[in-house]
Amino acid sequence: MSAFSLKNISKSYGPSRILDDITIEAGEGEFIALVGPSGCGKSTLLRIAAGLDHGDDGSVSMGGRDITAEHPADRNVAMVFQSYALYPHLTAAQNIAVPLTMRNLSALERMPFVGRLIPGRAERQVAIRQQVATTAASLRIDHLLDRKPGHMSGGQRQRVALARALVRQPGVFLMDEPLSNLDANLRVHTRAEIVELHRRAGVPTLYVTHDQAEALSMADRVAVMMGGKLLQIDEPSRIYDDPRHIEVAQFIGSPRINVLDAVTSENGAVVLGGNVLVEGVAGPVGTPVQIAIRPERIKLRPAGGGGIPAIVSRLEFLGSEVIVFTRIDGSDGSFTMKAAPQDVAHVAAGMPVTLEVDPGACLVFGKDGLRVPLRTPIKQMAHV
Amino acid sequence: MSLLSLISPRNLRLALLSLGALVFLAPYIWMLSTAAKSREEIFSSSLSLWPHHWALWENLGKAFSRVPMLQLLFNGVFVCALIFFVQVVIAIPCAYAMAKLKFRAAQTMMTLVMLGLLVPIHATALPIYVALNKTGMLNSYFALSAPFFISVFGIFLFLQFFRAMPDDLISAARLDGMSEAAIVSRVIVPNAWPAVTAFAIFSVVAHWNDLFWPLIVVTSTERATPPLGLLFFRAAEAGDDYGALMAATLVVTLPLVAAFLAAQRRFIEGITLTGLKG
Repeated sequence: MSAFSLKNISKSYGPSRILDDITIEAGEGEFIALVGPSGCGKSTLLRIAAGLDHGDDGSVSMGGRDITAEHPADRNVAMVFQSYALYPHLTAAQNIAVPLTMRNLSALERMPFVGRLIPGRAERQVAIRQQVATTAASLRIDHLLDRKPGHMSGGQRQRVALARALVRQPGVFLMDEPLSNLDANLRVHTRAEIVELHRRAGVPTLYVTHDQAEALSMADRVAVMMGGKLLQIDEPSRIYDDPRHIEVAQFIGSPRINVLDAVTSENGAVVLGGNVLVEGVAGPVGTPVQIAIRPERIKLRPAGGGGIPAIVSRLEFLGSEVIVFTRIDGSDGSFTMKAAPQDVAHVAAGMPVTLEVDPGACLVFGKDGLRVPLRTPIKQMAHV
Repeated sequence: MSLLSLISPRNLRLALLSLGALVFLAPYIWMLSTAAKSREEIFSSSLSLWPHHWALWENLGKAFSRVPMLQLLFNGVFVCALIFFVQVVIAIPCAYAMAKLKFRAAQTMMTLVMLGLLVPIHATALPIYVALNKTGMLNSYFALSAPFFISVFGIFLFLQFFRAMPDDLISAARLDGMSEAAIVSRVIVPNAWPAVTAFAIFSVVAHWNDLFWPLIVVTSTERATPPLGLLFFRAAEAGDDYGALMAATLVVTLPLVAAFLAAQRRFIEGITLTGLKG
């Protein structure tokens, strides 16, 4: 039994199908990142999980209980929004206390003046205040509790929003791009912190992001969505090394994976610049395929050696590594690769070089975008 | 410094604006002047802005003694407050529903609001009068305020303001366990003060100064609003005592002028907020 699951969720607005039969099951304490380009439906899926939106089809369940028809307030889900969505007129402490006040105090007890007369209210309020203080301390925002959101920085607001989500001990955490409004430095730092908070809370988490690096670095499993479809859900390393779909391969990884259109020849081989890149592609001779190779799986060698002859068109220095852009001789294809700065110290734009592709680095995709299995085990790249 | 150097675009603009301000202020200034003049001086053939004999206190005394001025002022405050309170209580939930909730009649309601903006009180005055007359409710606070309880202008103004409020805020409130009523009272209203202030200005100014409706439904001084009281004063008591009449006018206009001077910045903020001028 999964702790939180979305089963066969579909949704259409008019003729456009924005979610197509999506199933995601999160285990106890699992962190799942939903990643995809904007407009792929990942935020809508999250809103359906929260109960703020409803799918045309499918069900949502938490701890085995079907909550598809439940009101968001009854689901005990906590959500962190991209805009933080803090109440501007309340202080940080009051903001964090809202979910508890709404849950632990009755409507009469929440009323001004009248509420004070109800027995037991004072004790409950003290308890709420203590919970707020504990949560604030764990996020190191104790000093901000008396401030209003207008007088806080983006990072501070983000922490208050996290505290408001944490304080209620929810059944599931939903995060909608919580880091995209922070500056780059703070973002990397907060990533680690969210993972740590999640580990301590042990609550299943759905985390929506458009940043593939964020998804890969934080999640136990990554779900890649495109155009309303769930293309693959897998551990980060499998998503990166073993993508099931060309679009997954292209979306994940920076710089982008190299993709070449090719046609198979004898033996299901794909030949480029006189080199066999891969062999044993299923299907008859002449099958059109797409070959994808990660930039770090291509090595730069001096011109004239055995490999694919190419010309360097541009270099991008990034400090710890250099991105080299090359044009393949006698073809309109191009390859991007990553290299260590000392290895390309002598390389300049316009220089002829030879490219060597790591054995087994080629991922083959069919015309429908799906991975094509290889019949034969991968061999050393051979020069023919 | 030569005279020519004074003619800059900025000075020209200032001169034009000052001239315009003077044109608009002239009647009010003349009213102030008349309020301070004795009866003889008002009817003398010479025109002067500054009174020779100060008769302001005498005129004010007449204004307060000949009509129940305090009663008039109280009526004005009570009616304006009642109208404004009910308008806000009705318009805010209505505007919230139209701005943030999805329901099938939203488009139709929007059309109705726009239509409502086009219909002036003068068009519906007669049927409402007949209804109030039949139910025997003329000459009451209810008759003075009830036709204005639903303000389509208020709904429209709040609607525009609420549309700009982030949807995430309302989603967050729902997840935190608030009902729609709680969202309105705990999230929307506390953040709508600029809009409420702006609307208060329009509503209070309009109904404090209104003469048309009180003239129709009120015939006794007991329930008269300040502008209607002035009319009674002129018709019955003062006749030709313009000094006293102007002094009464001064008293009636003073609360709004004082409110404007005290909260000038809010007034201007409110008017710029609504994008309405004039």
